[in-house]
Order: sequence, then structure tokens, then C-alpha cells
Amino acid sequence: MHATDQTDKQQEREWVEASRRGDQAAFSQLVKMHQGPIYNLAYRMLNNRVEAEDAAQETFLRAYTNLDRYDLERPFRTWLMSITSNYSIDRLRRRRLTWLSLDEPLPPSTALHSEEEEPEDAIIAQEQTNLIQALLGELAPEYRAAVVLHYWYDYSYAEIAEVLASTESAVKSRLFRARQTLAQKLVANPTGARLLNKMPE
Amino acid sequence: MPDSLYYFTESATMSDLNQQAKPEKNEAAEAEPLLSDEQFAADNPTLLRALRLVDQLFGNAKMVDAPPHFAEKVVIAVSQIQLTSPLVRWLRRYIKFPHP
Repeated sequence: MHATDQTDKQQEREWVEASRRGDQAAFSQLVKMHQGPIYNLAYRMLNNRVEAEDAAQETFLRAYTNLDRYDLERPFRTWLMSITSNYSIDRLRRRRLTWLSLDEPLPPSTALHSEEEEPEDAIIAQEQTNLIQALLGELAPEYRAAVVLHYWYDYSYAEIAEVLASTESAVKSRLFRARQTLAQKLVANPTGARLLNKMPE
Repeated sequence: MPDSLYYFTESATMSDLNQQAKPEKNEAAEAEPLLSDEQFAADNPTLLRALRLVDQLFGNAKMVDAPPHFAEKVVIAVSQIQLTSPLVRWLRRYIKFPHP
């Protein structure tokens, strides 16, 4: 582990301990440290900015009210991820009938392109962003969570299993099946099919 | 903070947190053996390229940032929880704990 990682961990631990004593400034630091990954997970799961913000906020509030039960030996982010995943999965189940996510596109400010991109590149990037969300929307909630943790966070099977309170073999199986489902859905999606045609053999 | 959020926060227990969103029964699908990429794409070679494209698209997708002022909103919500926690309410009621 790098020295900076160790320092960050130590700092994080101090903030957690201070937060347990009711220090809101310390908790604010924890929120700032983890808000990006937590919001991204919620957004990728729920595909809706308002719901994602709500889920991310709920994650931090639940964490705050249960800080005394958090095991300091466990990575704090993993604990937050568990809360976000569970909350998002439950929420998805409650709105099962609206899964036909004719997806809400990302706002231009968060689209996957930089300022320097040509308009055509920006359009392609936006299309790909929408495609990714549309494909994710085709997966069952537990599969979706595993896929997001794998691709966006580069989590190992063991880490995903810890977040989802599952086993490594179950996670491996879910990811395997999810990837093949995504490929099938991609072929059936007009944007996906077009991208495939442009892809070199 | 919306009422619904307040409700969820106050009512969340550790069992809620620990309660895993239990995998729904999908035993038929789970029981099927896993296919290698080649077996999976045996009848349709396009699927092999689709798998590569999935890896490429998802592998390069970026994080979406939290909205502006997100942390500040959370801290405000936390303050409100503290003010209305069950213990504080109990103290206010039984020992005339002063309002802030």
C-alpha cells in the first residue's frame, strides 16, 4: 500500500471517529471524500439524476445514524457501497414496471466528453453514454450492481461479494451471465448495432 | 429535506441496512451452465464482437460527478436528524432539554 493511501486511511478513520462524536465538519469531509463514487453507483443503478441524488443522500444519512455500528477494520467506502446497492436494488424493485428505461440522457455537463471535443465526437460520446445506461437498464438489479462495481470501480469478485453480501462464485456467475446478456441486448439495440458495424473485425 | 427522506432516515434500522436485497428467485437461469464466449457466440459470431464492444464501452465509461453542493445538502440533512433524533425528542419531553 502506498504511503498516501495509508495517510488517507488514517485521515478517514479520524473523521469517522470524530463523526461518531457528533462532529459534523468531520462527517462533511467524509461525504466530500466519497460523494463521487456513491453518486455514480446510484446513478448507474437508478438511471435518474433526482433518484440518484436522493439515494446517495440517503446512503450518507443512514451511514451517519449507524456510524457506531460500522466496523473500523472494514473499508468505509465498501460499507457505503453496500448501503447504496441495497437501497438502489430495493428501489428498483419498487418501480419494476417503469424499467422500460427509455433512458434519461445525462445532462451535457456530465456527458462523457471533454471541452475540446468536436461536436460530432460529443454526439457520439453522448450516444454511447445513453447506450450504456439503456443496456444497464436491461439487467436485473443484482446483476446491474455487480456490473457497475466491476467496470466502474474495478472491484475484485471478493470485493463485489462483500458489497453485495454474496459469494465470490455467485458474483462470478452473475458477471459472466450479465456480460453475455449485455452483448445480446447490444446487438438488438439500434445504436449498439450501428457501433458494432463500425467496429473493426 | 423532503419528508420521505426524513422518514426513511429515522426509520432505518441496522436490520434494514444489513438486510440484503435478497436475490429474487431465478433458479432456472442460475442453474444453466456458464458458456464460454465461443460457445455463447457459436450460432452468431456477431455476439463475439458484441462482447468485445461491451467490455470496451463499459470499461471506458467515466464516473458521473455528484451534483453541485451535494455535500452541503447532506450536512444540512444530518443536522436536522440530530435535532430530531429519538434521544433528543425523549430528552426534550422528559427533562425539558432546551431547544437549540
